[in-house]
Amino acid sequence: MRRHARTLTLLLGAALVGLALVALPAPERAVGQDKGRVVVQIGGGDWADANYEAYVAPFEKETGIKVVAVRDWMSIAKLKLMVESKKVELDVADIPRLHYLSAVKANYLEKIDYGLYDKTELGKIDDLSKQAYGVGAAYFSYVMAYDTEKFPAGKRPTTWAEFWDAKKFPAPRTLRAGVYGTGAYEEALLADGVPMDKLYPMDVDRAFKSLDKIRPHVTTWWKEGAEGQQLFADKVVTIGDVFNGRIGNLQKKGMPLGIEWNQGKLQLDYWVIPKGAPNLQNAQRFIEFATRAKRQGAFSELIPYGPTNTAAFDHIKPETARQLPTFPANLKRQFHRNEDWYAEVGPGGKSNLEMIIERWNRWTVQ
Amino acid sequence: MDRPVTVRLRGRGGVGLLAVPAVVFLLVFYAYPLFRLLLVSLDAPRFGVTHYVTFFTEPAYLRILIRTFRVSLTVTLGCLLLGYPTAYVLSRVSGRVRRVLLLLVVVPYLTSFLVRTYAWMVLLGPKGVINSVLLRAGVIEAPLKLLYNAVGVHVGMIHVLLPLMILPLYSVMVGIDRTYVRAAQSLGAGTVRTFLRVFLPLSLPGVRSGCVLVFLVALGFYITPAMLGGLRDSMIAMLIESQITQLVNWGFAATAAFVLLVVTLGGFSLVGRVSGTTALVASEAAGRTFAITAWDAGGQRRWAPGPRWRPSLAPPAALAVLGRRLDAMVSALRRRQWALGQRREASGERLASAALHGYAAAVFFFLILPTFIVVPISLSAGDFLAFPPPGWSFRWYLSYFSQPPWLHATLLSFEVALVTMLASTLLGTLAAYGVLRGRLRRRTLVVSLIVSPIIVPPIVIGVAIYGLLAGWDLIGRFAGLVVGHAIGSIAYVMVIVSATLAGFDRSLERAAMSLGAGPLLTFRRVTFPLIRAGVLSGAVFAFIHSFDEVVITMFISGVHVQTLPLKMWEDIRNQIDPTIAAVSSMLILLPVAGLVALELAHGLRRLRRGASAPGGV
Repeated sequence: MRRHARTLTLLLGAALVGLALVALPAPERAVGQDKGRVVVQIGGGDWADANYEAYVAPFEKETGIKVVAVRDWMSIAKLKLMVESKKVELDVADIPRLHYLSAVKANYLEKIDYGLYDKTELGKIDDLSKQAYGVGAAYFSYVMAYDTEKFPAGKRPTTWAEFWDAKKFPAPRTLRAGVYGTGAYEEALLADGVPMDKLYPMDVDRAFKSLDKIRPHVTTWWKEGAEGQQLFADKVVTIGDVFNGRIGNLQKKGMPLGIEWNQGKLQLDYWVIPKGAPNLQNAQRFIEFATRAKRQGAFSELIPYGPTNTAAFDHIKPETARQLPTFPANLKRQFHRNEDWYAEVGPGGKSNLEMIIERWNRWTVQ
Repeated sequence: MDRPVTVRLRGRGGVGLLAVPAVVFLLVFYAYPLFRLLLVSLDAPRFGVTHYVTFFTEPAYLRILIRTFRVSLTVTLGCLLLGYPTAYVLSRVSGRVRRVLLLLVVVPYLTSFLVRTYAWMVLLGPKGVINSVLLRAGVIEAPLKLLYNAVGVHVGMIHVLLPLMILPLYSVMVGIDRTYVRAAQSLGAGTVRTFLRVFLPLSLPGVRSGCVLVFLVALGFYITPAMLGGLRDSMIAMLIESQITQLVNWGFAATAAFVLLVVTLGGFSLVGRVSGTTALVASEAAGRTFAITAWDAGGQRRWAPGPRWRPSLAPPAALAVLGRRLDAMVSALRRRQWALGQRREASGERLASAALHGYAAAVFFFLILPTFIVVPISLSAGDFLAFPPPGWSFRWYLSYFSQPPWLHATLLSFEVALVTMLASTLLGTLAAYGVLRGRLRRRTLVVSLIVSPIIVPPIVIGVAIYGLLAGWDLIGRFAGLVVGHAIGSIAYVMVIVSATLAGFDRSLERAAMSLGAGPLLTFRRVTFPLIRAGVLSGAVFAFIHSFDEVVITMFISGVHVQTLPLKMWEDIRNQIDPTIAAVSSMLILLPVAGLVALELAHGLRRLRRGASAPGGV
């Protein structure tokens, strides 16, 4: 009996502690409520570290504005919830162009104040990056990556058509799954002989027919970027499409991996300001600061993603520059994924993105 | 036996009120937001069923739905086959061994599911540990295909869900009065017969609640099947997730979620109608019925609404009468043979018991197998998750302790999980008690309300409750996180506790009452000690549910608050460094260390007491 009494006392005590904890406010990472601050979502991992070092710290130093750096990613779903509930706690985030277009359409973003920008800097930022509601932050590329031990120079696929040739190049492979709409459709079309400048409007039937051919030879279809990276790190696959930065990361750590820039698929991330951001003015200043050539140069030195300000290459070491997707020699061998096509609404009232996700789901169960 | 039932109906109607706190909580924080989402799926205020038409006319979605149910079913069966004998062994062993084994069941659960999934990829891969071992041993000539197909999905899912099967089973089995078993044996029933006619029926509430939990949780899986399975193995939750995160098409995501919910609840209510009980939670009648039918087959079925879907266990009345006659004739003979058989059976029993223990040992090995991967990875000197590690070091532990965000996140997760556990154990236990003992008019509806949060994919709950929590300024607040986590935790507690309550011998309570104990005293002195195993199991899962929750948290944590799973998720999406393996290893080793310390303290105390009072234990 005494034991039960003790158990009960313990439980009661724990309950009291619990109540006390509920009454306490959540331990916030934010500090200070003065006007001079800006809340910036900087993503995670190496990407967040690079953002911090290249943009956040120097911005604080130059302006005296306190930056609350949030290590997390913005999703379009969270943006929608935040803006629609009118409880925006965030001033700056970065989102891919695919989501940028739908966010603009839904009116979730603040207009960019280009009046703050230096004329020469602005002139060097490429056109795709200068949008009404967002400024390009960095370019990524889906590239063909390969294990250099398995595929020495001259004995490896350099086009998607060759990648599709499983007889000539037998190897465990990976491709991006299409469950999020961002599958290897362009690669499938290129493999089927469609030239890089004739990909859009996309012949979806043809893309899936081409995917039929490679399907039996694909070991697994990756969904998250880290998954694709892990497949190469573990040597589960020796060739496949992955984000160039993921492979760059492994190369830096001495893994025998190579990148084929030919027929790479470029995508662009934007700095954006959610509608109703509490520190709008500081947010505008932060984005202006983060798109300066010198800052972007520092960023690309830290992580191999491409600057949107072309003058940034003046601040990048030549050996680093060659590893970047927007390095001129690499750039001209790649193509831009046409997010506008994905956002287009077809006759059925569905966007192409919606349609292609539906097609993907149907294709997987075949 | 007839009378107490009517007495209960008249005298204890108020007990049903105990379910009220849980029901009110869920109505406000769960049902109401979900109802608003239902309106979205119906295109309110214009109202239309386009989303539903899309869902049912696109064959892919139906096929994915059917596959989701099929996989959940086979996973449930797998868990039952592995879990039942294991729980049986657990309920038979004593004190210290039991504590250690229980820990082995729960602890792997504390490892982040992402890390566990990765461990399975290491184990099952074409060049993985299992294939390497088998190849080297010469058992196979070519690597088995264990990954990126249905095998991988089942291994991964069964591993994650097995504790959800074992603990409810264990909680019920531990409460089974062994004198029934001994009585049956002394009356001449063999081991098998005793098991089939006495033990198995008495353990059925546990089987039911374990199966219900595993099945429901399996329905909402997507990351594990997505990572371990092939293209064809995608499940409905994945579909819902992509609709929300990529298309912000909440109407369609909600549609898929509601179809899943309605089909599941409909299925259970059908089973319930056939069996005459509420199929979602074990009902009291079920446990009692089998105790009775075991003794007096069929004779009492008039008042005991026995589930008809297990007719093989309770033979029809006519057969039973015949059976009893035969029994009487044979029993004299049997009694004589009994003494003789005892000796023979003893050796057979030893063999069976050895086999049983071997089986349970294999299951425990399966449960902790990924740990053998996770711990070495965490000690890696390399820069990313790799097995075997390229070298050894503690750098990832140092990395954890040197980063305040990790420490803050860990502390916050512990606090949230603790409070969630206390709140939901209280609400869930009261609700289970009220539902099972009280006279509730819409019992099925109440049970569905409480249990359904397990079925609705968390991402849908996250989206649904965001608006409500934002309105009350609870986004990114401690209380908001507790609310979001408690929605699911209450369901776990409810299902597990109701199983122990169902297998409970009510006459003990009545005895206490008749001796003058009030309801509270009876509960404290009789009921609670007997259902304690269930309440504690429920609490464990309430804690783990909160501690592991990432999807709802992602939405309601706001901008400035980060829990441990969120931090892990941020990390694993960006860099696959072994810090998360270090965190996982610590989560495994901490409880183990705690238990060892507890045992040592216990032993020391015993030693000291033994010294001061010789002969006393």
